[in-house]
Amino acid sequence: MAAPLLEISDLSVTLEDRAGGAPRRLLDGVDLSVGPGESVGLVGSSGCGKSMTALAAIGLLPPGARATGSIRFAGEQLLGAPERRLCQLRGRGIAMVFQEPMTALNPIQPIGRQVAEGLRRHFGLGRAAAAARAEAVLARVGLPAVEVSPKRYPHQLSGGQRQRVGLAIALAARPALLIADEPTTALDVTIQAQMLDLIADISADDGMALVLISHDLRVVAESCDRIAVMYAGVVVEQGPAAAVVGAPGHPYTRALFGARLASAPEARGAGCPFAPRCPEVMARCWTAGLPWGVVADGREIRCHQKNGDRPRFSSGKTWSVAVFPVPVFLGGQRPLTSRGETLLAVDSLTRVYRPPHAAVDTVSFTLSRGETLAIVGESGSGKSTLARMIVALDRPTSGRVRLLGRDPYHDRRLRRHVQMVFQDPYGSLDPRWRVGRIVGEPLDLPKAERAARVAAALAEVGLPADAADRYPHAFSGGQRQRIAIARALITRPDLIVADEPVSALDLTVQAQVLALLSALRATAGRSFLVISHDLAVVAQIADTVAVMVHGRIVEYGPAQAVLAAPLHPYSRALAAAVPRLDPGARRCGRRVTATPRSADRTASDAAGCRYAGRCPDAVARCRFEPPARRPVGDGREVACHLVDAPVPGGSPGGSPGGSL
Amino acid sequence: MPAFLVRRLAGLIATLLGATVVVFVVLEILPGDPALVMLGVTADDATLAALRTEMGLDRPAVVRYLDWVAGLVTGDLGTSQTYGVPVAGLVGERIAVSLPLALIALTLAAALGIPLGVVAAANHGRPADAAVIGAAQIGVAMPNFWLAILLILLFAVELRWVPAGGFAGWEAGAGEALRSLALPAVALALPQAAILARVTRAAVLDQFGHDHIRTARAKGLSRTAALIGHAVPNALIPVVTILGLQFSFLIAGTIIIENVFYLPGLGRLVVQAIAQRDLIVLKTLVVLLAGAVVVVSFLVDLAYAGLDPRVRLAAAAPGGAA
Repeated sequence: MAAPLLEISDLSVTLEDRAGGAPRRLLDGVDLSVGPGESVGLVGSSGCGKSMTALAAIGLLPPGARATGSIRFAGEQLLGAPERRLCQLRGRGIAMVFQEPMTALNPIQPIGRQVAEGLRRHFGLGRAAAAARAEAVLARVGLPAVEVSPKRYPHQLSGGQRQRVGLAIALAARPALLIADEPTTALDVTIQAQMLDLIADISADDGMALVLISHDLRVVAESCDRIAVMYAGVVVEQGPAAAVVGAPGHPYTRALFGARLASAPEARGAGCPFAPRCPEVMARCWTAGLPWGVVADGREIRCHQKNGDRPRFSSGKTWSVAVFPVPVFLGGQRPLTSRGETLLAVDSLTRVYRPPHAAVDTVSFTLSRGETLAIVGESGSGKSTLARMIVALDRPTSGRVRLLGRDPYHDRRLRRHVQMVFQDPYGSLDPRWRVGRIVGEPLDLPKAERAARVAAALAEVGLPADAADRYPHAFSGGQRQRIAIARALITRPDLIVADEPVSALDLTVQAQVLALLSALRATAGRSFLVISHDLAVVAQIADTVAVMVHGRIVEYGPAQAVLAAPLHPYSRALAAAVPRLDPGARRCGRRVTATPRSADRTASDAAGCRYAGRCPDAVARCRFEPPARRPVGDGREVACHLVDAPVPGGSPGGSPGGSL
Repeated sequence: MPAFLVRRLAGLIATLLGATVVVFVVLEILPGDPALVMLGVTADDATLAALRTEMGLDRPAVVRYLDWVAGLVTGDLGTSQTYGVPVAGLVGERIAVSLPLALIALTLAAALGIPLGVVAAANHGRPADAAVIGAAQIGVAMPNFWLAILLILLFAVELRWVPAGGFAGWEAGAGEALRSLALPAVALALPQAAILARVTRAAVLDQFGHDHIRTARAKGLSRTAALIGHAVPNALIPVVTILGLQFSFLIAGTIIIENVFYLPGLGRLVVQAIAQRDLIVLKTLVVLLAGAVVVVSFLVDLAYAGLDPRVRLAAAAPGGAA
């Protein structure tokens, strides 16, 4: 291998404690090297120090942070380098793309000017020359001036387009190394795929080195040559992507695959940071330092066990459950033929905010007692609006919602029968209220009785009884979502509507909350309506799936059938866009991207199929005739002109994972 | 943009009309005979009746209101009861003092407060920051009339640079007139500058925490370049809000300051009109002051549109920018 472009060795970062306590150690002896043109994935759950490592590399650590060790870029020591020199290198030598496309751009400057700024800074270009170059860079990331004017402001763009602008800003000065910090986490799954393709294409074309930071092993596995796994400020395993993914060595890496860990690493002592959670912990793990062990396939693992000699998985089951979007059903799969009493009936429900565009357009379905229905779609597809109408937080423009045969919008007494769990466990709990009060608020009962019901609800979601006396800030994201679920359970509702219940959570915590939701389904007669953009989530808990595009349900049917063999072109695109553990797929062009580049542009031709503008298979008929939803066998309904043949046999298609 | 302007202008006119209605109702319709108020309880019935006829109080309220509003529009504001001169001329003379005073004070406050706030934010936690915060604390705490007295003692009594009070008049030349206005303007401006410095500092520091500043730094901009190019323009949005609110305080401030400096401005006219129960002058003045506040908030709206494309474009295409 050539001399490394970026070489981080023994990097430690401490953050001084504002309260005057001992400084907190954020990074502890991180070693990481990136060769010219190489792509390295940096993986770990949130708080493990991935972003801190990146910020240290471009010299933008937060105030109060102190770095020791060595960061060399093209041989030049960056730690302690003068600020002037770092300003020259930032953008030109090392550039960075950040996670938050909504806030990472200056809201009051046109995007072209924001891209041009770096060019003017680094090449001393004039205003016009820089603007012309910026236009070319924007075109390169898929924002040609004829479609998206460089004079536009960030608020006029979609999330995916904004992230492309962020990428254009980073690429403007043709950096030798691009650090992309969770560049796709905030994006819809179909747009994630385009973004990753774009980054991989450009880095390959330009011979640019890439550090891709993600909490999602699937994302880095596809895009990177090598993978480094971090835990609690320490790199615990690194090596070729195929080796790490194929045979994860360190217990944490294996746990990450199983995704069954609590997220927040605890304060650590002298030994291995993973020791408190490691299923295979030994006495010396607690005290002895961490030796790098080199394994034959070019991998390095920091673990006392000689795992490299005998790679194995802790459990074949957990491996597939939470990481792969393979439809593995945790709960009992109930056939739709044995449907119970109808709990919820939605009939031609429509909500129009800005005529003529309907956010929800003539949606109909029924939900039986005990059934779990998942509504899948990208943001803006109308799925949250639909949920709001079902819980009577919003009023339908036309159509009907019937819960237990009555209208929840006009009959307030019905509202105890339906409860909602919201996406953001941080924003949805009043920080000034104790958990007991939050959970018990809906109950109009004597104090002792209420306390008993609260304790029971907390126990049901796996929280200790003393949680009732604490405030929300004392809990982690996953625990807060449990509190939100307990609050929904307290009225013993017939229907729980969960709007993106896990998308604000870490992958490892997601798995726990999903397992909880899955377990709660077991209670007789309780139905769930789960809203999600993530097929992997849906696969774990749904009996029935409804796929929504631009306000309409385009495919509906038993979860297993829909996920295993999606029929509608959008369902297929959605399934294909889910990242898989396929090392190097993106770089080697092995991957099939079913969505065209333009998919983040909302094209809704009112006359025909809403999806026609984006559909790779669209024919002339699609553009003027809206497809009706009709049965195609095995309990499935699809709204597409191109799907006409009923699924043969009527058995849920193929082997699980065949198409996902 | 024109649609946006038309909408805001319509709002402006509606607010002004609302102000005239409130003033009219409060001063003329509410219990209490305006003629009795003006003449005092000792006035005899014949004088009262004569004044009522002169003021047109025997006509219906709607007619009187329309008459008055028409007068406001055409500039025929009636004759002052105490001065015996047309109200329009009287008010015009006083505006020539008060408007320059308020504008100079506002400019001074902005020119002093905003840069100090930026400097404090750029040197967050360092001595320059502490100095600005300390000075601003004193400035906010100090009443402007007391500051005015201190300024008179130093610059007029001790140093004799400027007159202690009175107004030379614009006929005496702009230099002389401005010399008369210098101390009152500074006395008005300093407390407002202190508030602006604090608001600006907080707004810039808030911007520093935003992700787009990190993006700017990652492009290779120095800290100062990111501050000037990205943090300050964004921070000006809340600052302009405060600036607009301050204009109302400045108007209230002129009432006190003009009395301390013995300036023949609107503020003193208000006090005199109240003391002498000159209702005709008073209602014109109240509408004028309300109008000034409304016009300033209109200007603030325009400034928002200039500073923030989200406001400008949302206003230009309602519902278009999602």
